[in-house]
Amino acid sequence: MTPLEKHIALLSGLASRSAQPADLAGLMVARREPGQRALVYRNSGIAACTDALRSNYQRLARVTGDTFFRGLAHAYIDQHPPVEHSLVGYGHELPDFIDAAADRHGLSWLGDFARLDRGWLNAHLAADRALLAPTALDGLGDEALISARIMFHPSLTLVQTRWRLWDLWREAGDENFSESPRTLLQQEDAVLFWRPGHDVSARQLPAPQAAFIASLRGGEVLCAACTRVLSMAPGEDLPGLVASVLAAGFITDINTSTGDSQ
Amino acid sequence: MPPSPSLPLHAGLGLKPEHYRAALETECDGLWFEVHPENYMVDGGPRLAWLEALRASRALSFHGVGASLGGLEPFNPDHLARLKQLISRFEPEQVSEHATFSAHAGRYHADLLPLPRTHEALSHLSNRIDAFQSSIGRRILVENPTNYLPFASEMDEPDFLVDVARRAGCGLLMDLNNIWISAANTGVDPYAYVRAVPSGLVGEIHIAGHSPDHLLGDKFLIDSHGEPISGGVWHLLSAALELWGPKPVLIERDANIPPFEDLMSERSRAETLILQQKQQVHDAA
Repeated sequence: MTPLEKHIALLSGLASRSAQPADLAGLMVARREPGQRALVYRNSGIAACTDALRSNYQRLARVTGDTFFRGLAHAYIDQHPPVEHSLVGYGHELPDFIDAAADRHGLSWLGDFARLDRGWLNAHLAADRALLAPTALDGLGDEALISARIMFHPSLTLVQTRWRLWDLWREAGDENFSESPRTLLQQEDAVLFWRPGHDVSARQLPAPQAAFIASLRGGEVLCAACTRVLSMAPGEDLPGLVASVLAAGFITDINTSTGDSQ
Repeated sequence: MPPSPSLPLHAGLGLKPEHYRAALETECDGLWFEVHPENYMVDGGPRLAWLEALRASRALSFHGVGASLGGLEPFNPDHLARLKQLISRFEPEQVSEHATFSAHAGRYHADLLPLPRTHEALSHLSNRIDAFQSSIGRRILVENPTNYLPFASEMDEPDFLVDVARRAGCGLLMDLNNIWISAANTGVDPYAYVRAVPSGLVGEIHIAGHSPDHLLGDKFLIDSHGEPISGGVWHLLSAALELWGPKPVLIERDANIPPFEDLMSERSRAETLILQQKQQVHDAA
């Protein structure tokens, strides 16, 4: 190992906790131990990653408070250090990481709450794509419509949770949010995120609608998605459901069975 | 390497998302903006749209933090590809990076870690900058690091950077706040440092605020970018401009973001110092 390689390996080790300040003594003037000052090379990177996580999980940070969030972030950074050379989307595994630690923090809903923040972030950062004009559907017959595959805007993100967290998540969007005692229901829920323009929209979805969107996103044709909904909720207003999706502002294309695009 | 366009000889601001609208609406003459391209390495969305809107009327500088120029591993292909896409889309007047490393053994440290000032590092960094410039097809500026510890070295930092610049054919971005902090932490003379750098290599100057360490106080300064610019750094800027002549000067602020007007006030102070130097050049001619 050359002196440069040794320098980089040791300083990198200090930054990632595998080396201690005293290990750097051989790199210093007069081989003097650098003491605690050397920890700035660890703390700066951790602070940058913590800030990135706070920015990417803003409502989670508000709900958990600074002390808890900082501890959570440091534990996460330790196990999932950044690999990409940009922190814009850093923290992909945070919801699963929170779930895996549920025995320790006792908040079994918290991973799902983080998933909602992640859903918002995915929609915020997703690619731009022109939406289909409402008039593009004019003239499309019922038969063509039921066999059509619907292409959604890249920002469309469906988050399905085991807890009903919509109200808490929405309230935590307020910068002055302060937690008040509440009961959270362990009940399946779904929230849809998409970005019709610059701003992300979010909407809580009843289970049949969530299944409908999930089916279409999975590549099923409209008819198959409708069948799936009816199997879950025989009384569902299908025409109303289809109309609401077509009018929602997140469709970019409709491919009919003939291969035509609208 | 073809010559790259230059930033205007005015003061600029580091662009923060909190200030997008104010930045777009201000009518201030000569104002330019600098961004970290890593914050725009996204597939789409509002931040790219804001940057595009600003670019239509303002000069732009890309100041990278993720290339790890001094690192031992090949340049991250995804980072490089995204940077090239951004350069192609926004055509910034200036691209700069750091004379540091920020990744090793597959881990990104999200920090700008210093290299030793040795002949080995000099050769390594020069070759890496040369390869980086060839890859993006642009001449870049390279910024001096912030020093917190007295690493054993074979040469002083200005000599190291000047030699790197000459070998690699790059320019220098002189961060006067980094020099001020390094001076406090490792005992160098900031004015002698500035005098050792020839004007012809300096393409841009950065000034920013720093903070005392929460345990050691003023004996150990931290490059926080979270405070107003200190009196010492303002004085060093005056001295540097007196020596180097007018240069583009950037006000950096990355934490405790104040209102846009506060940053514009610091920018106005820097602009006055640049104008004084322009006047001196004009009078001398």
